[in-house]
Amino acid sequence: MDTNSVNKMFFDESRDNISKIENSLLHLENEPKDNDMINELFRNVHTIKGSSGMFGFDNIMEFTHTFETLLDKVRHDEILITDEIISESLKANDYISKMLDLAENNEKVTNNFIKDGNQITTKLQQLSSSINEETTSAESKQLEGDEELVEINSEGVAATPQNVKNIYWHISLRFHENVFQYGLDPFAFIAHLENDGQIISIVPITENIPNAENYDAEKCYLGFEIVYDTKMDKNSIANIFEFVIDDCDIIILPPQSDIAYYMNLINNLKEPIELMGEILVAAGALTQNELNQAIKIQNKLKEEYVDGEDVPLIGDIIVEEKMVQPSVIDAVIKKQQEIKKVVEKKNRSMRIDVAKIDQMIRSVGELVIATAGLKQLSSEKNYSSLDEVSNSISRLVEDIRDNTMSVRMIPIGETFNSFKRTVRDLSKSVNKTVDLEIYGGDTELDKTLIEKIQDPIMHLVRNSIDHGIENSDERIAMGKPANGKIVLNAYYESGSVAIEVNDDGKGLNREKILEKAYEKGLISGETELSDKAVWDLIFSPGFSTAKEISNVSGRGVGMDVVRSNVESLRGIIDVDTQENVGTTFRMNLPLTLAIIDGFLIDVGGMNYIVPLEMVVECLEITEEIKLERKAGNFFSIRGEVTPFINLKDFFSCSDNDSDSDINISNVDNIIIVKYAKKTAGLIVDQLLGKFQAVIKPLGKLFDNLKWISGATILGNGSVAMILDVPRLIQHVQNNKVKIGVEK
Amino acid sequence: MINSENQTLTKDVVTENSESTDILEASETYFTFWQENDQYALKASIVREVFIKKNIYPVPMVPDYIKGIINLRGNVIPILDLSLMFFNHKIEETITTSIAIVEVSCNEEDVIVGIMIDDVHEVLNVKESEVEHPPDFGANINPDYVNGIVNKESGYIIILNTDYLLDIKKLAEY
Repeated sequence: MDTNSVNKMFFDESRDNISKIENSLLHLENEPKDNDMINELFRNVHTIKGSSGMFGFDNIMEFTHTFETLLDKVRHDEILITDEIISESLKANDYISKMLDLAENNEKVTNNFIKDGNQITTKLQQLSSSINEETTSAESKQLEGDEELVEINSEGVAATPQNVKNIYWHISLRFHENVFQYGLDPFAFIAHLENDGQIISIVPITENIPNAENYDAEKCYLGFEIVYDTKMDKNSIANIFEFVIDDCDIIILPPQSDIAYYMNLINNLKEPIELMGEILVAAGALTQNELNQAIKIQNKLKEEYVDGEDVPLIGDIIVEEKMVQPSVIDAVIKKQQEIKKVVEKKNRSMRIDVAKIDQMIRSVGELVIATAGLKQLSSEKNYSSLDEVSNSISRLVEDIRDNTMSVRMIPIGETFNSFKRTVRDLSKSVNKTVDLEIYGGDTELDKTLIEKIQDPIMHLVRNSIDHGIENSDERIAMGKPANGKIVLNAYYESGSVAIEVNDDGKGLNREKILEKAYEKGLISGETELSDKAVWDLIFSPGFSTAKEISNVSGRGVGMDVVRSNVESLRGIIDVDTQENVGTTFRMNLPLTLAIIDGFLIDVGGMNYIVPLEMVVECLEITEEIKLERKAGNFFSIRGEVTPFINLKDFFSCSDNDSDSDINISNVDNIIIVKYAKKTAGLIVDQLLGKFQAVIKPLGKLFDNLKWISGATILGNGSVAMILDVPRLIQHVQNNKVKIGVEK
Repeated sequence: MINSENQTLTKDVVTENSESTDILEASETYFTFWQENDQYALKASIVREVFIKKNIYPVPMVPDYIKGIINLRGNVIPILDLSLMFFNHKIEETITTSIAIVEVSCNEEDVIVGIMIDDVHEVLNVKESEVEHPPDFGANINPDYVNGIVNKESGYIIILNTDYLLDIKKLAEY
């Protein structure tokens, strides 16, 4: 593996982490007390820091370090999460992402860019230091103004061997000042430790000894940090200090090697123990006494958090108070989660370069074509054992094709999630509060499609926030919830994927649209338009109802661009709206872009493909149906009125087709197609059967060609064109409307 | 890229011909062909390949100058009828009718199209000084299509302005 591909791995991984960080931050904005999320956030930032250092991107590492410092404090509850922290963290995250981009493209870092970075760094430092004082004072409050302890606590952070491989016990001992008055000799206890083990080192903490004037010879000012080697368990050690337990603060940290043992023990607990404190006691990592102390602190905090805020969890207090090392707590939490059966599904996965997959898909495409050739040959030769072989090969190729295509399919959830940020930032910038709800995130789409659909969705979301959703006052006045809501939804629908962007805003305004369209010369103002036709006007080029162009919904390149983007993906878009209830934009997209199952037909000696997923049925036109034929372009098929066109006539007489009386005397096949809930009939010369079509783009010259969405190569090397069924259906349906009006 | 390679190649050829005085003079290699009794030339650098006409599949509802599409080793390539563009009548297909595959750019993207020609002629070097301005009148085709004229032993050769002739954006407007 060369350096480049290793670096690429680093970049890919870091980008993943960045999007996770963003999601965590957005989640924490709503639930700032979610400790799991805080930990995950910290871990991801830490990973970026670690790996960027490893790969020699020192600037990224340094920057991330400041970020991490802040989060570390958040993680240890020294800082409460505020909006400011979230905003700055998001900025920092964006900045890391930019640094990654620059590093990956080997671009020069500009001075402005460095300045931006320094600004963010300073801000982060401010955030982490300013609040430091607050928490220190808060802590002293917690501990009833016991100043001695506060001092040592901050000392203790440095002295606690969190990252050191400590094979010994660590005892942190702080005697209260009045310990001598009870006739207790601290030294006796320390000496006692020597009986059952060995003191490896002992550090007296002398910071609390006052100057000579205030010094009271009868008071104890000393604390000790002791590294202790013993075979005793925690309770036995605690017992040594039993007599003095009320007159000192003692924290006993088990040795690292034993933590593994404890974690093991915790994980092996069979009974569902819900209270984590009890788990710790049962595992021997915590004594009952310490647990009681923690509960005491929690209760005290409960009193302080008057307005029903979430009280810190016992686990956090225990870590905060250095009773147990965090890794033990993590193990306990894990166990708790197992008990609650929220075990995340293990997705074993590997990273593959997209280029490799594309190459594979190209090869599979050629294979599909070659197989079609073989099949045709074998049917011509009329040789049954060859037929058999070719059939089984084509079945296998079909399998390979499906599997290969599924490699490209990825769930849309991640893309949907990326809009959380957009919604947050945009709604803030226009002073609205908008919640984003996501459904159908595990609907899978072709990767290319997902990439290309992002912009249209973005545009629709922006539109909803800018034009659709009212501000809180208006909403309350109308009896709606103060927070606006945008729903992103994805689901499968008759051979296509539907993606919806729905808002609960004011809906489209018929009058305004008509007025605007008239102004722009899009309509004459004489014809009475149906609602549907009015809504369709918003997709016309140059149409934008925003009075002023804000930076939210863009530069007036409006819905027409969205529509053409969707159509270039062989999809269609339509809109449903209801005044003051909301608007839904629905995009129907094909499942895949590269290979489709098609139905081969013959029209006027040329071969065409209809995507099989859109074929409902093929019928012979019987006398009965001919008799059932309604006026104009309608058939009644099993009681259902279906509009139809004769493809041969349609294709030979270019645009003037609405008034032609369709000639059906010589044809006897009709193929019923359906897309996005609409059906139509196509009259064709011949039905030639199922065919796997590798879609070949027609190229720029055919950009304006309607009705044909691509081409494919048949087994014998000839070319067939793929019908753009969605547009054909739309055309036939519109024709129906026209004729309905005329008659 | 291709262009610069071509330039150096041209120079080599020139050196081999020991026309040493002309080394510094820029020259260009052209692909020439016959169309209705006239010789036309395309820059060789944009011509990918030339072959005898193969099966063309017509595409419905496009202008007549788009003859159809072909299968070129698994890729679908559109074919333009040059006679229709030049003389406004369909090309008369003979045994020598060929297709030249050319590469043009449209919006910074390479587009590959095929053009139907009556017959292939040759590939030749033309020095810049040999290229004359096209006459304002008298040409059989739209003067906008013409970049210049060269007088060679075989007769006048019309150098085509491919930027104008094969303006894909314009051709795709229908």
